[in-house]
Amino acid sequence: MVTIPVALAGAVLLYFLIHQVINSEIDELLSSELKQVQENLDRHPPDTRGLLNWDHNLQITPAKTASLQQPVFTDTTLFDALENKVVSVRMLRAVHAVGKHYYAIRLHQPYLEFQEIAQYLSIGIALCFMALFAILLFIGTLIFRRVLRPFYAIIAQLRHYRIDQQTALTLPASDVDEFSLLSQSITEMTQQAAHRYSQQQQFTDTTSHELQTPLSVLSTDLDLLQQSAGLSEADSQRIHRAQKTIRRLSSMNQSLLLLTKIDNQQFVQVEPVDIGRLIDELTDTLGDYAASKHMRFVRSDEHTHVITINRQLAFILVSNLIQNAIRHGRSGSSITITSGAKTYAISNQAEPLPFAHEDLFHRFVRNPALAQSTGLGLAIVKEIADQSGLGIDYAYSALAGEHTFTVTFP
Amino acid sequence: MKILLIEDEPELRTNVQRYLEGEHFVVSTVSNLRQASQKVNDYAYDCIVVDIMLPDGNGLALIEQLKETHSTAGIVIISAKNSLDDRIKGLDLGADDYLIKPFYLPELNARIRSLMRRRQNAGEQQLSFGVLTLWPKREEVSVADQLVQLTPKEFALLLFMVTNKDRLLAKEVIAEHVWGEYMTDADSLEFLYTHIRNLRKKLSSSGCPDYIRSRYGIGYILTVAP
Repeated sequence: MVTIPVALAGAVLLYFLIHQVINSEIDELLSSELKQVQENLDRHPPDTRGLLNWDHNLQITPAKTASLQQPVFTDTTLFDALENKVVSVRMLRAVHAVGKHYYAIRLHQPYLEFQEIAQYLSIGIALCFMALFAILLFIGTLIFRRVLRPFYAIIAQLRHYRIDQQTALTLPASDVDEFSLLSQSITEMTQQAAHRYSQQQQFTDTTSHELQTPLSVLSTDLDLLQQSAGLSEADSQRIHRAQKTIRRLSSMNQSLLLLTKIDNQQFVQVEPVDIGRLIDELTDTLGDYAASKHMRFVRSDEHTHVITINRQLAFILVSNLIQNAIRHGRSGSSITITSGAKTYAISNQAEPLPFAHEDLFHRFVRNPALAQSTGLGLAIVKEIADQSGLGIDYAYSALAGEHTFTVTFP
Repeated sequence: MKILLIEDEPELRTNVQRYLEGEHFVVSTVSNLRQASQKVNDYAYDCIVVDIMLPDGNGLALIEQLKETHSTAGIVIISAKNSLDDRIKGLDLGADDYLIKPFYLPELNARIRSLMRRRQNAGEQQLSFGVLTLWPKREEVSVADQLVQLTPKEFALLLFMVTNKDRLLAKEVIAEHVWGEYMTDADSLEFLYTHIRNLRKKLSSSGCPDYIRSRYGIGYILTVAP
């Protein structure tokens, strides 16, 4: 884009330069012609008749005085009778003395051809310049593309790289040293990152397991303590609260462990699972819980969906969604379960979220009003959906005061 | 009844032993696989409670050994790993039950009792408590030879309380036993209260004294003591 103004400015500059050169050439030409005319006048002093001008570019007229000391150049226009138009010319006027006679000499030279030459030249050069540039650009792009091909291949690989997937990067080899260096560095970097990641995962796994045993010791200690005679009411309550807290810790621990396992893709076995049947099962087991909150299930899932998924994960996904609906649903409201051509939706009525909508599926985001909640249930749902190729969406309708989770099948 | 407990964590071992002895079991304990293997070779046990992750190996190896020697002992696995694979593997090898740490001691007791009942095939097993008689297999209960109609959940509730009689059972412990482990996360255990109330109503209308004592905010005790 920059080339066009540059070419134009160059053309204009060139035009003026050529013009300048031509001007000085014409001036030189006129000067030498003048000298010749003066010599001719000196050698053959003309009589009055001899002043008839043959050459229409030269006019000699007798003058009375030496009105001009020096020859004078001027630009002017003349009517060219031959071409029948006005042309711009360079004119040289001088007065020459032969004996006592003075002759006024007027020489002119039309610019016409020179100007045209200048124009053609500058346009031609500008065009050539642009053509050259276009060719250079074209070749440059071709070479660039070819040379950068490994680079783009690396970029494409990186774009699809996921640290939680076990597959290593296969970066293309390249003749260009810089690119092979880049490939090598990236491979090393990702290997290191993947190693760190798996170490981190392993750490979570081990920590979670290691935590379960001390928790068991605590739990059984409290179980025994609870049975001992002579406990005051307040002490019993304290023991009970401690026991509940241990459960919460343990359940959090289990959930984290589950998340790690899903991340590590430890649930590889898949089988066809009928989601509707799974919901039947869960609404049955969770029925007492829902009933205690005076909630009921409204089923209108006519579309049956049998999807290929890990059964355990499908169970956890649906179970977490239904438990979530019961836990947060308003007492006395109903939980609606509907299915579409490619979707399953679970809705419950409740107050709007006490936190930002985007945070809903994040870990440890929970309703502070519910002490027993671990804030991991929906994070697990999201993780399962992501790993199983399902979509999970949340929407809140302020009008109906209704929260809806929609699972979309591929 | 004789129980062998294999657990490497000393405090946990002591606590489980103490509780089970309180439930009138005879409990032997070992802390590793080698000792356990020796013990099951030398003595006969009614039930073996084994931790899967032991310092000198996997507890599953012991189950294999027991099956090779055609042992009739019931086997309960206790594990810190809540892994379906391990559970399936354990049960496939011939274990009878799988309990995840941390567990409630009354739950362990109930599992062992239930296992023992299932093992003793000879004759119909029955349990008595005060004027109550329970037939676990048929899920029936009678008050002085008069059958009382209970729902399966109410029966499970009563059986669990009879199994752990005279013990204070926290609401969470009962809920987890009757409704499953994920019920512990439920925000309200109101449904348990409803079931206890219905159970009390049905029993007392059959002339049974109210054995269920409430401990406010904590749970319930089943006892004949006034």
